[in-house]
Amino acid sequence: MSFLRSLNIPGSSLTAQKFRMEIAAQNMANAASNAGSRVYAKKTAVLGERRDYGAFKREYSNAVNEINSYGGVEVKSVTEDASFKVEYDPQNPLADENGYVKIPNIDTTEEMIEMMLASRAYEANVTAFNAVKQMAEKALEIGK
Amino acid sequence: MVTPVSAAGNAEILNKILAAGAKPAKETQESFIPFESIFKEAVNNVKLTEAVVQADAIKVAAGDADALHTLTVDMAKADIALQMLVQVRNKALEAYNEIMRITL
Repeated sequence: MSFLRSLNIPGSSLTAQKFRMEIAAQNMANAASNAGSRVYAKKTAVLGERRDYGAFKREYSNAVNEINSYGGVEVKSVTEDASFKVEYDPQNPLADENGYVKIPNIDTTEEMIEMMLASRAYEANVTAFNAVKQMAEKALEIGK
Repeated sequence: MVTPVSAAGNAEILNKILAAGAKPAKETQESFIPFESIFKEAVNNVKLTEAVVQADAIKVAAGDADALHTLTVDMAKADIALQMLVQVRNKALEAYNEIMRITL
């Protein structure tokens, strides 16, 4: 795998972790949203392996060779969890006939942890990127 | 005694030389010189990565925050491509100097 293409693997992970962080931030921001009697559905990003079968510049690269197609990670889908909690608040204009208000099933502590995980994964991938870049630079020092 | 050559004759001779000169150039293009192709590929690499960096820089300057890490990743790739071009050039120069030092 060419060096410039192998840098795409940490790069794709940076994108995925950033998206994961955005999902966690969205969940946290909407922890109390239930406008229009539609409770906010907690979102989760599903990450999966990414394969890059794109065009190979060199003729002798075998496109069937699996190792050449490693492309990192990508967000496969965003699953929504439509479950909700109920809170007893008869004064609320959105309360139903029994006085219960639906609120999203979001635990802000969990979302904070999710943000920390995404942030640490981001940093880990930046380290991986720098390591690969250093390898390339060392390779260019051969024979200096 | 020097035979004067007319202007029209000059043009014919020049055209013949140009036609003869064009053929050997085509033949060397078909022959495979590994170093030349490597050098061309290195230059092409620098061109491509540099173009990507320009496009990314415009996106980031316009406020597309998604492209921020893409910009740094592509800048690193352009940096490596440029360093490789510099190393290829250094080797070429060394080889050239080595050959020029051969005393006849």
